[in-house]
Amino acid sequence: MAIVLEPSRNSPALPGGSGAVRPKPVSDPGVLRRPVESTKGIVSWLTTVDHTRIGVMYGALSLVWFVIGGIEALLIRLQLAQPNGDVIGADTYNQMFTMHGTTMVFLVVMPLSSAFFNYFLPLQIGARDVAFPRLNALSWWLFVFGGLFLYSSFFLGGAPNGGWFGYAPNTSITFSPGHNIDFWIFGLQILGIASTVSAVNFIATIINMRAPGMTLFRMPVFTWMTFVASFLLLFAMPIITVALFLLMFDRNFGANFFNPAQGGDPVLWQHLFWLFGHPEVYILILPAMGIVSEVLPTFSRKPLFGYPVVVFSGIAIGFMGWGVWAHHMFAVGLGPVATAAFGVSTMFIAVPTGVKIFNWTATLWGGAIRFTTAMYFSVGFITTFVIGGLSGVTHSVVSADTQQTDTYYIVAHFHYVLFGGALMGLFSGFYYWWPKIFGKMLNERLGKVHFWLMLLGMHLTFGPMHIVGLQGQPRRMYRYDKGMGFDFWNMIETVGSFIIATSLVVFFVNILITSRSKAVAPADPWDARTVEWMTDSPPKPWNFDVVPTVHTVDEFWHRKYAEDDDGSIRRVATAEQVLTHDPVDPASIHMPSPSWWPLIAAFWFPVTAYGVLYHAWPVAVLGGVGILAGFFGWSLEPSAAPHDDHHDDHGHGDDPNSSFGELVAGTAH
Amino acid sequence: MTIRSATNAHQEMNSDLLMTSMSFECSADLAAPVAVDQARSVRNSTRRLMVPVLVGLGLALSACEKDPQSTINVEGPQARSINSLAMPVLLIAGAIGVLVYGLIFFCIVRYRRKGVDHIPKQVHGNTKGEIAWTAAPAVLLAVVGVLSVGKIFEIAEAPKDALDITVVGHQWWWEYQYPQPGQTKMNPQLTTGDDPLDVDAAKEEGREPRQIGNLIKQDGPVVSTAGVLHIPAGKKVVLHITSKDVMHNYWVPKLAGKIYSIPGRINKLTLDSDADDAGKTIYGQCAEFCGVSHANMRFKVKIDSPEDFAKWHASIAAPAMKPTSELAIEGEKLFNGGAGCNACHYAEPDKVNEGAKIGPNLTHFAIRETFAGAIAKNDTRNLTAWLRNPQAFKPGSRMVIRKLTDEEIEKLVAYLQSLKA
Repeated sequence: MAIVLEPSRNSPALPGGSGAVRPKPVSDPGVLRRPVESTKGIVSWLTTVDHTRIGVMYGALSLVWFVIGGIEALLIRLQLAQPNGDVIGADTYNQMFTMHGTTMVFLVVMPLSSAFFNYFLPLQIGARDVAFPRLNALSWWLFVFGGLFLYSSFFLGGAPNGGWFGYAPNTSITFSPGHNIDFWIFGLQILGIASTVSAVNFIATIINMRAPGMTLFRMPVFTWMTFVASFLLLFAMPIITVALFLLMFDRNFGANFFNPAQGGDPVLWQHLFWLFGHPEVYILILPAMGIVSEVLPTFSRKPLFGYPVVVFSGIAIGFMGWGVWAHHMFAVGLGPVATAAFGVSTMFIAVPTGVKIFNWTATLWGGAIRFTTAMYFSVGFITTFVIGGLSGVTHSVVSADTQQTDTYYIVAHFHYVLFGGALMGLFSGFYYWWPKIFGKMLNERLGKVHFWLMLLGMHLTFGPMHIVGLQGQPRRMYRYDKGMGFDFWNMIETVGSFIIATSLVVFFVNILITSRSKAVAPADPWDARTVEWMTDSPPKPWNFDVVPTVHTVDEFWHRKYAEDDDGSIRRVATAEQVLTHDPVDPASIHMPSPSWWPLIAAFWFPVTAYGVLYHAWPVAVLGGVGILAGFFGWSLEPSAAPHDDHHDDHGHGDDPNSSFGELVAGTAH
Repeated sequence: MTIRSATNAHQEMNSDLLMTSMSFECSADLAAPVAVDQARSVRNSTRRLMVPVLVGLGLALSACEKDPQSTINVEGPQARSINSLAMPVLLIAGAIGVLVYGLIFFCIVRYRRKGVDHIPKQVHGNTKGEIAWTAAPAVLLAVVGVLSVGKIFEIAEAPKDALDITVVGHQWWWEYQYPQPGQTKMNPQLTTGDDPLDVDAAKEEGREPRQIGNLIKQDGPVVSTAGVLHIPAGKKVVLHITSKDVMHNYWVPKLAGKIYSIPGRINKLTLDSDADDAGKTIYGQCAEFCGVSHANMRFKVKIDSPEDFAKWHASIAAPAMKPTSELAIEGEKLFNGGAGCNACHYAEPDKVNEGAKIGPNLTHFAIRETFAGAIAKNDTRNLTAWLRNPQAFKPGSRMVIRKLTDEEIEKLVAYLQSLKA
């Protein structure tokens, strides 16, 4: 089943390579000329198509959104700290919980995962970049503009206030007459395009651009989980896109898809939303599972226990994730047969999830565990995720769920999965890969303070939600009465949320201190195992001087250590020795040139959205024309900058960066 | 900026609210209002966050042991039946959690790295072990699955000889339609007809009113009330639940699981109680986010002894008395004229059999223990505050009313308080 590429495909091209001679391009009109590759100045960031720089930008902006989403969470917790609280009031509260959910899902966890996909996917598979570098830049700019568009609602009449789930008909024009919901619809549409484009890009990259010898079952688990999550994205995003289009037509053009008075059905919205929404949950958690599967073996000094089982359980989750959506709807009145079927399917998705937990634990078993901050966060991930997973199983008992759904018990469950799970995994990734990205180590002592504060804050904030949920506190209520038994635990939750906020301050201080520090990280600070560590930190723009030929999952480890048949180990080389190679002329490696067009094309998406939102049709048309013009410019742009020496050295066919996509589209760079 | 103005508006509103008693005490007694404590400002609340944890712990343990919305400490047979499965599952989940935590802690204590050169044996996997820990949870879940499916069908079974009640969700209050006293069957259907929200506009413009498809059609005359659901103790009740506007979710935690109230659909929920529950008041709450005042969409379920229930049922079905006091008579005139209340509310004695017009049917308003989404006790002070500014009382309230003078409010309150059989 493995797809083995011809070894020549990604090997570094030799100077003066052999490809078919192509005619020199005639001089292009100035507007279409590509900027020259550069690593300095604002223009180099605006026009970059380099996956590492895009990854860094994704990470940085996601952290900004994380702070904003976190402030929204703190406002929610302040409002609920006491019974009948009056810190922000009903309508603002509704905006806050809507934007908190929307932000954390679409602007924090997804793009943070995307940051790691971008940076490490090509490195882990020994590629020089992603398959479609300009499309990658388009995803990034759509993420930027989508987020800004969504948040512009705060200054244009109020933020979305219908919940991140946007249930019709509360989100219809009748019951939500302002533009709040429209901002949500169009914002998610733009962000959805960004995600879909990324998914295509990552899938194409993984299928086509692996290093010689890297069969699918020699890919690191993080790459595998990226692969599965990308397929989920590819199939899930179109569903929410359709649902949002229907809602847009209901709201803006008098359609009645979800209007029961005219024969529509609001339950249809719920099916569409959760058919997207449940795979989305796995889109959020699988990348973090991948990171943890990298960190645990590294710091246990053991291979991941049962690699194929961990991979297959990830794939199984990816498949089964499509058959459980109605467990969000057990109280909707679907009838006993449907709820029974979805209840049982939900129970069985716990099996592959449990397998992962056991395999991670078995990886620790018998290991030589070194407790770095990254390891703290990964073990923290497992311990909190276990609680979230088990409470998830209690929801799958349908009759019990009719008591639990829409209460804080659910809020507790998914924060254990998404905060204690996904975000802890992502923070593990930050501490693990920071030296790879920036060539400097994050301070371990501060990192551990960050970890303990975050773990404590997490349990204090979300732990009591199990209790108040079972005591009957419903979600999404801006106030609750005294005497319900909620007061004490809500106060504890609020205190916990501020401890989480403090832990993040520690994290940002750590970043600041690290960025000021002159200390350079060692080449292999963690005694790592996989291919991304077989190059400089930070890597050169072309990632690898010599693309490694891969023989095993833990390629780097096996070049450092020899393993005898009885499993005993001896060191055969230092990391530095592994990284040393014969000098290679960088000029022999052709990298894609920067481009303005992704930025230009992406800019017009929100313009179009404003036009439709305000029914300002000339603006909408202008935006549409802008998008088209952007893509025309993109298509007509030459494949390299004017002074790129290598441009005419190689035909596209044997260009080291050529890709499947380019062969099809002819415009990949 | 929006947040700021919304906050200000809310503060303003709250100063009004605070004059009313909004909350019921922990005791099951509906008639025990608690004065909301002094006004809070933004600054104030932030400061109070620092209330010492220990004080909170003491309060939590002593304040309210009843947990009026608890899903664990429940009252009704159905809620108990759910817990007979849910609690063992919760315990098993907890036990597995403890087991996994034990394993993880054992590993991280036992297998710390000893020295830089410490390299453990490279174990790549163990097929038998992995099959075992795949199969074991699967078998356990299969057992739970069988029990769960059994429970689903057990709860879904339609009871024989039950009292039918129609429940209609409105933003942000619950309407209840009972059959005529002595009868138990209802068969509400959704039908197409004139949109009540468009009737007046259509008349003015001389056109046919808009047709909509989610009107509730009953077999015969009904008795409409709001806020508090009365049920006879020890008898099964089937609620036929629908919604007039957005999705709501009808939830009485101590009696049963929740079910959505969906416009265009009718869901059924069985409620039952024990014979010795008579006299208890059970808390309920809309559980699905339904707009601005979702948190204020509460209700109570009053479990009456069969005799009390029959008495109450008869009293809300009887034609209401005409007001007698002068003040109330003035109020009636205002209701049907100057204040325009009758545009949305029925209150006339002969309208006892009508469902809600747009707002609740007020024919027997004075009998009700609560109003405004059951967030407030039905008394003079609360009614006065409500009529002065409904939106301050319940943010986003759909009630449209012109600015009334204190005198007018007094008259209207007198009229409303005269509305009983």
